[in-house]
Amino acid sequence: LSLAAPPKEPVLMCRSNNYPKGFYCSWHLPTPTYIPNSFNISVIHGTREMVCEKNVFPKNRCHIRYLQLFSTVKYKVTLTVTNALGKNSTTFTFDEFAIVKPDPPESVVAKPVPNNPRRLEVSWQNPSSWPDPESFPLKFFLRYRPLILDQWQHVELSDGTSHTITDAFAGKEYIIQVAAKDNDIGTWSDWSVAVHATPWTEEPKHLTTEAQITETTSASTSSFMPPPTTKICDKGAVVGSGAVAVCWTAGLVLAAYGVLFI
Amino acid sequence: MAAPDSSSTSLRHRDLCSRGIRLAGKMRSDVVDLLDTYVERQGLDASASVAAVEGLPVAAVERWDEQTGTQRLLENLAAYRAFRVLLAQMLEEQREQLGEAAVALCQGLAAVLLQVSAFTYHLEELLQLETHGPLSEETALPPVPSHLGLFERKLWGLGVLRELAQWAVRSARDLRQLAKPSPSSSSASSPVDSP
Repeated sequence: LSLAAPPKEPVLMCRSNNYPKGFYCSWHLPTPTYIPNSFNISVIHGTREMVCEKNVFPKNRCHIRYLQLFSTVKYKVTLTVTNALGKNSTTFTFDEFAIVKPDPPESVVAKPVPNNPRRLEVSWQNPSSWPDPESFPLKFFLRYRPLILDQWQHVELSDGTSHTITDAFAGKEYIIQVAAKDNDIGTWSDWSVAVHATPWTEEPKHLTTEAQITETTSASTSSFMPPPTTKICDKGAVVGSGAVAVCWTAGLVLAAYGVLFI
Repeated sequence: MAAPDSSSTSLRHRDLCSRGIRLAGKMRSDVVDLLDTYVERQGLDASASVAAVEGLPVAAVERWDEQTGTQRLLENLAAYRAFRVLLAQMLEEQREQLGEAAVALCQGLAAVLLQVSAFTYHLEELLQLETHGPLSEETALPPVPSHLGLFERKLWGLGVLRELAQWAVRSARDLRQLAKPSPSSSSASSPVDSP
């Protein structure tokens, strides 16, 4: 059996994720009352009372259109909650710029860069709720780390919706997120959905080559043994920039042996 | 030749807009720093309310998205010409004060005044390019209130700097609107869609 209670002071927040169109306020009660409550919200800007259009869903939210921009006059939002046992209210006063907080960037994609074992290419899009990114451009904050480490690397970007990470650890899976903020005002968005990516790594081609030679020469009476003067291509000689290191001396010798056994 | 002229005009317009946006951004950053210094040195509460001041250009605007390019430039120019006078007055008053606090404020005010003057000149160039005509003379500005007590003068200064910070943000937005390609730069831009 739950005891009905009068409402405690409601929790109220206001935010503009679609500046300069407007802002919304949403609220909730910190503890349930177990009986129906009604909410009344008033929004005052200077001497003007503004209309807060209630949402169908979620119910505890309403939207206000900006009638003025660039005002130094504060907004005052008062929320009153009433039920059969009492009422309570809270007031939130704020500047136009202070509540501007975009939604996180969307469609974050991270891809390896072919032949580049230390690079990852990241791209994203402006949040679809931000109405005019051309006149109200966003800047971005990218964070990334290998899964095996706890410390994030951060990059702030004032232009564009892509970035190439150039210092990734080769072969390690990375987790990457992006946040957005209006270029001039407000606060950073929440972090985007995390994406994972691993930088490009080269296939071990020299092992494949030796295996193939061993197969083709298995019919001969002597096993293949490179002459002592042959330069063997080792892993360290493979350049990470993507150029395939070719050991010409070994190549010529192998070709010569190949011809002998045809 | 018409084509090269309009092309070079267009390039100049784009260049002035992008430089103006950078100037406005730097100015805003310095005004915000100056505001912090001012509040601290004058012993004020940062959240203090300031009554409306006669002669102070207010950045607040209705139907901002419907303004034409020329309207934007004219309002910006009138505002910064007024700020040039107001900041000069503030600077003169600070110079009469003694002490380290006054010196720090003087330096900050002088730096911002220089930027406001540069931005005013920049707007004048843009407006001449936009309207292809001579600029209007500066209209006489209302006198700075002289009857205020010491505390009221401090609040008045706070109001000036706050409004200047808002204008710097608005100016960057105005110039970005101006920089958008349109068939005619003097025509009204389309209103923002309803939510």
